Amino acid sequence: MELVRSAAPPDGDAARERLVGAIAGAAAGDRRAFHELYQRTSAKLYGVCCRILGEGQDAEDALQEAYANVWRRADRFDASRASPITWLAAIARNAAIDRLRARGTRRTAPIDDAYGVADESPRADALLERDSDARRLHGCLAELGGGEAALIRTAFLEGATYSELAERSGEPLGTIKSRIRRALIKLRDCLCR
Amino acid sequence: MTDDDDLQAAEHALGLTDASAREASDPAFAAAVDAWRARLDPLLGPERAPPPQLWDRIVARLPANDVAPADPARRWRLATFAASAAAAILLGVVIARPDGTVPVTQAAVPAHMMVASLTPKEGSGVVSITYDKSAGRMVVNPVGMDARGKAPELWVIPADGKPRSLGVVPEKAAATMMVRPEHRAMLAKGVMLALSLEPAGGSPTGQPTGPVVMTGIMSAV
Repeated sequence: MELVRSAAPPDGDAARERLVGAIAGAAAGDRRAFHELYQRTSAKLYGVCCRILGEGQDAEDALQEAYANVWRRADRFDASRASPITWLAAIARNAAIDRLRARGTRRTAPIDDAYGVADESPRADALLERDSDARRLHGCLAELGGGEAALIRTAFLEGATYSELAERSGEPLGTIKSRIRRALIKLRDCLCR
Repeated sequence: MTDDDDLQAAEHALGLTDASAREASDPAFAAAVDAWRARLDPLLGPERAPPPQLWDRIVARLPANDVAPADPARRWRLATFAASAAAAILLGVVIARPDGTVPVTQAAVPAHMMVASLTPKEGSGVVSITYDKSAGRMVVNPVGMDARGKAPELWVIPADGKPRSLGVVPEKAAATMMVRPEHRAMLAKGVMLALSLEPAGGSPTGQPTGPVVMTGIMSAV
């Protein structure tokens, strides 16, 4: 399997090793290691929270929740199975999605409206991101067409379930599932090109 | 990994399904999930520095936030609770002795006594600590500790995250030590203590240089 690593903040083996070491330290209850982990990753994780919740109190609360979860689950991190930054980002995403759900103000607008513009061209902030992975992903999402990219974004950034996607797009559940699965295959093929 | 497996990994990474159990038990599946998370990562937005005061709020929450059963911190807390209870009983006995009639209540326990129980993340052994705040005196009692030929050094890790050495402690025998005045205020309820293995004589740098083998939380009796 080809692993497409995010080139996001800590690329390079040394940075990765430091993160792995810091997570191991946190798992052993070492607060100094946990502080180092926070210093190295909090901008990434706060970025995730802000993307999902918008900047502000909710994103700050989600970040706190995320690091509390990192502290609790550090002993379950397995460097042979996951990269530290994607593992951490997934914890931040889950914390932010939980808060979004608790807030109860998730979008219920039809999906095509929600991300209509973003489908056509890379988002402005994507252009600011330094890594080529981001441009590649946005390019491949744009190639999907037919609102499939919006489905993927809505699931990932709003925590929408299959049935919520079906409801919001006014299509049967089975149709939505096969649309997403086809889109994921196309996306993977595009990214692996 | 079949194509369908990889799609299931993608659905899990997107949050459309919950395949956490398989992610935990199937290394190939976990790697596929990680690959999808890495592919989707740019959607999660650019980095943004959090407000500077957030770290303090995160640290302040940590000890009180230990609720997951698989959580090592919870084990420390339980161990500390057990140590607190044991210490309370011991103190109660001491206090009750003079006239034999004083009931053992919370009020009978001196407010200046604190305890901690340091336990390893894995393996056995415990270091029980009793601290008399009013005297600045700490009693350290190791049971079943294996320092592997190194010098066990005790640290307090206050809110700023920077460990301060409380001194090298014996591996086998109980010891009484006086805490330096500048460190006494740090030994508050909820603060973390840690034990690292250092070269003979203790850390040459003033910071832990060897592995942290035991940790525990200070609590009031």
